[in-house]
Amino acid sequence: MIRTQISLEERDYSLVKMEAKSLGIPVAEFVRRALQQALRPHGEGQWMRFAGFVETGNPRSSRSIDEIVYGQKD
Amino acid sequence: MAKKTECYVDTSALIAFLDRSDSFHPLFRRLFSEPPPLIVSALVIVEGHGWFLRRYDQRRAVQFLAFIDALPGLTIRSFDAAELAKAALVVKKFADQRLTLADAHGLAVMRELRIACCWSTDRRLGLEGAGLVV
Repeated sequence: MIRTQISLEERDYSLVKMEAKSLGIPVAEFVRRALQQALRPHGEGQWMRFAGFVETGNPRSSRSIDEIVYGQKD
Repeated sequence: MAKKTECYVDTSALIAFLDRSDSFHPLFRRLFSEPPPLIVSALVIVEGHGWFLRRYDQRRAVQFLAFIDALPGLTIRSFDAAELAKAALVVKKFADQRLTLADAHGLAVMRELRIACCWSTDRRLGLEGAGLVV
């Protein structure tokens, strides 16, 4: 792995820290993931950069869509 | 001549692809990497967008729309009064299944176009006989 330094706007850095904390990962890991999403993978279509772009922490995410969109039935 | 639509895509397949936490993510990552001609109900797009709005925020909901826009070979089946009538019949037919209109429209589209393959993690999308990829 290459070690490098980048400069961020204060507001962006705060947002990055907040997002990383909400995912339970270090800022560096968050930045690495953001870069992977931004860079077009070799040989893959543009749409593939969206693969796994969110991380809910719920392995049943795709099977609980109705609960999120329509709410729980009383 | 355009290639024949091969598979119907349900909201659950889109979420499984986009959410790295989902247990079906690796499967849908592989499937979406080389997608055949696909068809989706406009209601699925509404549902997916709503999922991102409720679960996350406007920014991610817009990213979802950008993904839909970038996906090649995707046909979006519109939803109008005639499509509502077809979906309503399906809802009534499977009244015990608590289908959403998006589910019912998907079932109606698959039956009408004789689509035998459905990308979904929701067993109910197989009610009319289409084979699910999970």
